[in-house]
Amino acid sequence: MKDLFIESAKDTPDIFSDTKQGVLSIHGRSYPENTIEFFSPVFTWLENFLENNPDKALTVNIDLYYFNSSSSKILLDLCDILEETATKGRTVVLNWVYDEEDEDSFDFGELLKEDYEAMNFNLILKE
Amino acid sequence: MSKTQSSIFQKEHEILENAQKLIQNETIDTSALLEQYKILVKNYKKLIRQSETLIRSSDSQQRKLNQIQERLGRYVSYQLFQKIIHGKEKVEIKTKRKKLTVFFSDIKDFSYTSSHMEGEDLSAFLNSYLETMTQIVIKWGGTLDKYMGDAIMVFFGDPEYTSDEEHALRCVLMAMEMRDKMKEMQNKWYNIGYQEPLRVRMGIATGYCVVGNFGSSERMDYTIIGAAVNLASRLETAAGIDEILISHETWSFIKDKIICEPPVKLNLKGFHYDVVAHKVLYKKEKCSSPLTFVYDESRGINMIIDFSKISKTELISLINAIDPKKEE
Repeated sequence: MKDLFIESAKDTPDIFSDTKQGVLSIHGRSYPENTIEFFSPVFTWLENFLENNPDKALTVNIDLYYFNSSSSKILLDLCDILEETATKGRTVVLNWVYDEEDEDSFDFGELLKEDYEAMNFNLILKE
Repeated sequence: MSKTQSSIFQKEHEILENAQKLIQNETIDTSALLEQYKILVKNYKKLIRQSETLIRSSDSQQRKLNQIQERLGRYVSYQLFQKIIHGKEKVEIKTKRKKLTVFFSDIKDFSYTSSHMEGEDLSAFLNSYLETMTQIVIKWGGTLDKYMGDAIMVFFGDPEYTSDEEHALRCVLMAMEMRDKMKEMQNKWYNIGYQEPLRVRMGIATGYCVVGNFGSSERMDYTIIGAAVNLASRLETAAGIDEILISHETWSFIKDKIICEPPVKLNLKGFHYDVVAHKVLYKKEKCSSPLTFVYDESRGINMIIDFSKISKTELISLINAIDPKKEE
């Protein structure tokens, strides 16, 4: 299974995956021209990972310091998949990393934390 | 709906289309219908939850945006703020040539006065002064270019342009209101313990300037450069205490509405010719002064008549008594 290695650009974040460790990381700013197209590999990787590694735990690290509304919707879709996976019994950890100065990221993280109960949601202040 | 917006709801659209197809069939399969119904309910719930989260997030961002706008409005002039917020122009290094009326003011000997003021008193005093003056700038629609310590630079004619006459008049009326306000403030400062009266000097000039964004692509200032800027600054330096000196071009736009003293020729630094300047006195409509100015350079007349000291009849007699031959 091929891992993701998408380098950040002016409007898009870094995206890395590690199938062995069961880790997916998204970092940077996100306001792509075509959000669905940009994030499409993430959903493909996630689908393959969940299908081919039924016993493996999954950790998702999200560290976004700017993201537009379309990206927010994509993040909610991603969280829905993670929540559904956790509901079925798999260990899923979502680390939402925010900067002290970035109220938007913190606020969005708090909203997500309220919405999702089955997965382990960690709101982490960036050091 | 844009392509991006429609595609982020791709899954939701697919679910809806599947459900619609099912009910369009002639024969309805109850178990398939129930299955689709369950999917619809599940996704409807998900959509509501997502929408609530997105709306809360959007509201929170809107509140912050409003706060940022409010803060930004305090750092730049009202006109520039409107241009940034509502303008469709690109933010780029771009300038244009335009006739503007430029204003400069400063407090005479402020450096000396401030040298014996405590830092806290000085900042309280300066902020109170700039706050009062800025309110007057806003009232008359001036573009506040910058503060330079106690000095204020304002211009009229950009980004909003009406007419050269109106800009010149607004600028002079603004300066007159500032001058009047300073008299009130001088009493106030004296009563709270500032022993030396603080006096302003103001200079105004009209002329072509280059206006726009100057700087680099990373950091730019919306400002003006040009001879009128230098002239307004030099006139301000040449003005006496509580005086407003205006350039001849500014005067030409306001002469029917504002009374000025007869012109003087000034030798100003940076100008290789004598500059004609006028000292602003008061508005014509509120002319209660006994002083009358008669000026006609082409015919060699430059007179100030104080009608509190001489009647018109006496003046005519006096003129009649003048013997040009004897005067020669």
